Amino acid sequence: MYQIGQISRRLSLSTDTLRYYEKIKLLPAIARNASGLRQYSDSDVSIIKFIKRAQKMKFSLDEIGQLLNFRKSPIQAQPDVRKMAHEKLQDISTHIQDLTVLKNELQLLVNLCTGDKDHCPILDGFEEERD
Amino acid sequence: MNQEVNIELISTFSCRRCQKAQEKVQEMIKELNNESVFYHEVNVINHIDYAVQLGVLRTPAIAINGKLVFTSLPSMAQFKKILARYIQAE
Repeated sequence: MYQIGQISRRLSLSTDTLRYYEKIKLLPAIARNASGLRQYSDSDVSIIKFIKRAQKMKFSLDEIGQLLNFRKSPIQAQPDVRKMAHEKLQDISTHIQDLTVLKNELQLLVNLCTGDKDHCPILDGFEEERD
Repeated sequence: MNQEVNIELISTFSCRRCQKAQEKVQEMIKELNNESVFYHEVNVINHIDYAVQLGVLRTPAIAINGKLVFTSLPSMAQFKKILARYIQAE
């Protein structure tokens, strides 16, 4: 079990944010110790990581809530939630494809610059365009 | 009748290996003496989308008929062998 400060540092989230996730029920009611301090389980940490990943993908907190319910009981999920999850899956696939192209493009440019000690073709290319 | 085979050398303005590759590939094509083989140079800086689409991660590289075939300069024997496949396949 982990205390709120540990989770905050580990996942780079403020303690206010962690408490807010619980308040709006993205997180279940967090267990408390005898002193009333929150004790996060591995399962809670997994949910928080999921929220962070989904936020990075620009999902709203409302959408994340629905996805979390879907994550909890995928078989029983309503058709509209399944549909939303499917759409989000397609968005992610598109995003991965875009990122892969960008990664390959940057990899190519990095390889070009390190492949030649005297010149950087990226800069040379820009110079040539300017002339 | 032989079909067209388009050889593209993917290179950059200033890399020495690319300059060497340009000379070498043109030399090899000349040696083949086949009128259906065409040579083009593609500069990565001007055509980066195309280079990425081909899967080029380093230069020089050689594409044949729009497919990345060599990721480094081949020997004449390798070049002839691969090219023969394309000429026959067309």
